[in-house]
Amino acid sequence: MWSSIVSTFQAYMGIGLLVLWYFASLVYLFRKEEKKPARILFVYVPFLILLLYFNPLFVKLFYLTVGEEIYFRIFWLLPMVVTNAYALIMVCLQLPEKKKKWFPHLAVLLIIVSGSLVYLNPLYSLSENRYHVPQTVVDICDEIRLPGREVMAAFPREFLLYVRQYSPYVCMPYGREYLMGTYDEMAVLMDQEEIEVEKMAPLAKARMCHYVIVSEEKKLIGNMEDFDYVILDEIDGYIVYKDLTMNYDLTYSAE
Amino acid sequence: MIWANMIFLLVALLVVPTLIGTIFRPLWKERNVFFFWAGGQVLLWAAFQVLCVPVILFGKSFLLLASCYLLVTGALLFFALGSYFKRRSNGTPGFHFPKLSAKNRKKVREGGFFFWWVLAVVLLAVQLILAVMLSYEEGDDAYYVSISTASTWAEKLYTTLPYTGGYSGLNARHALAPFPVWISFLSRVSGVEPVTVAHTVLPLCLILASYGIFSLLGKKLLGDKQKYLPIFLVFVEFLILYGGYSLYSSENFLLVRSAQGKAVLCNIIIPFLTLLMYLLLESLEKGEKKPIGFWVLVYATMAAGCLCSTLGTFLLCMLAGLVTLCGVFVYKKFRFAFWMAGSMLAPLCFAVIYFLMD
Repeated sequence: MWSSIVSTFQAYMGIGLLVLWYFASLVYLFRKEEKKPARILFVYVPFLILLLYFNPLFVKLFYLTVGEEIYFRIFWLLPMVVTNAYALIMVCLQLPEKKKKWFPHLAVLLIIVSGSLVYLNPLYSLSENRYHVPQTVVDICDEIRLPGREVMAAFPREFLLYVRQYSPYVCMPYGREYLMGTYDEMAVLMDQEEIEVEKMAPLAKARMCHYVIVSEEKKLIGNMEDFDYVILDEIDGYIVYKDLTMNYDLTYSAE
Repeated sequence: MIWANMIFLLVALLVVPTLIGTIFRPLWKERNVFFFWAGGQVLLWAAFQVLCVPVILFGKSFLLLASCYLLVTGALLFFALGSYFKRRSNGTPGFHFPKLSAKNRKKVREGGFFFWWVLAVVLLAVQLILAVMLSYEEGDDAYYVSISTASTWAEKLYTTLPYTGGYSGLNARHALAPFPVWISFLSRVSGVEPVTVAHTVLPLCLILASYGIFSLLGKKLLGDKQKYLPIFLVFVEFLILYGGYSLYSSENFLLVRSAQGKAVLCNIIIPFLTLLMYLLLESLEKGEKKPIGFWVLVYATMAAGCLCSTLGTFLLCMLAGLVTLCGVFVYKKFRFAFWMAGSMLAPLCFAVIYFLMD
């Protein structure tokens, strides 16, 4: 249990020094802050929270009732940003008038050096539309939508996160769980560089897929037409296959 | 047309809570739009939580929820405007459009602080622009935004699997923190798609509000050194911008997952509760009694936290409990502890339902 607490703490500290600066700020405020409300909220309470965080009894109770994986959220109760900013202002106020002018610039530099810019995360990209969803997903979902009813469509893994965010009318045989490690036979087949149509198509039919979307870069081993599929459209490098044996009745309702 | 709807929604998200928040005018020394916004919004969120959870658990329709919530919002707005006109007739109106007087303009420019004000505004503008211009491949959005999208047109709430769309039966555990349904409500009344509300409109409002609350905390902490507020804000902004040191940090959540309940919990609700606790401790120090309006706001903040995240029930009770403990110990006063204990009732109720459903 102790190793789990420490690893959670390390994961929260991450790669920067800002959490260490927070502890320094905490000590600094403990020594210098005179206003009692500020002392209570920004020194005593955080100190008690940290005591609880490392308390085995508290940890056991938390793990039992809430779960281990979200234990890091206890740190959200520590007002790190406000404490760091306030401590820097306090330090600034203690300096002689001449240095007071330059200190904020140095402090900003210190923050930049100690932290990591959020926008440098490689998962950021320029939005393609107001939905913040790949335009290809929008185009495919609009293309396969049938008014007033849901359809089932098997998408490649790169779109699994987005389809249901954009359209409530497009259902999928497998979703994000697959990306999180849950085994799904059809998803595995769809994920291969060379897709075996003979294995994949019966699974798609069994799971009532009206459409199967395949990247043009993937090689199909076998013929989709042999399983009553026709090409509905080609959108941004993806082929949309339509299963002619499925029900496309507009009055159909799953319920 | 959709852009007009988006702008309408953004304005409504900023203006309606601010007007409702004027009810809490007596709680803050100056007229401050951020305090009004936060006060009004937590009241609206608390109302939404109280209405939404029973609707979900009893399998009632989204339309019923939306109608009731609109009615409550209308009633609160009516009450706030009524209070405003009453105060105006007494000569103490609750709201005015913020404008800089000649004296304040001079104050802003003095001693090189003008540069820091400009930098604070520019940094904020950059973050707001990037919130619209950049998208982030956020896995949890596949859950929360999908719930919002599904809820907008669903007969019953929390009955579909968000990742695939299959029928799941009632997912009561997640239904106790129905922040995504609030997004569905915004979508339904504005005509803007839920995914657009979550990724483009809400981040603008919530990032701005979060900085507003940080500025209120800064004002309180700086006391008579208010002229350092812009430098404090610049520090806060840089600390948040450079908060990418960990995927779990609240700073990272603010910029990356702006419209998720968890981000709202750690960047709006918890800082706002901290601010309220500061006001409470100040009163204890001065030996003053807090008006009933203050306790309404504390209770609403606790309930609003439950809307954002199921863990909100636990975290807010923990914070409130520790502040109470310290307050009793430092000031040797006990009466306020009963009020504080009362504020934990709503989160405790939701926690009990959570464990019963689990």
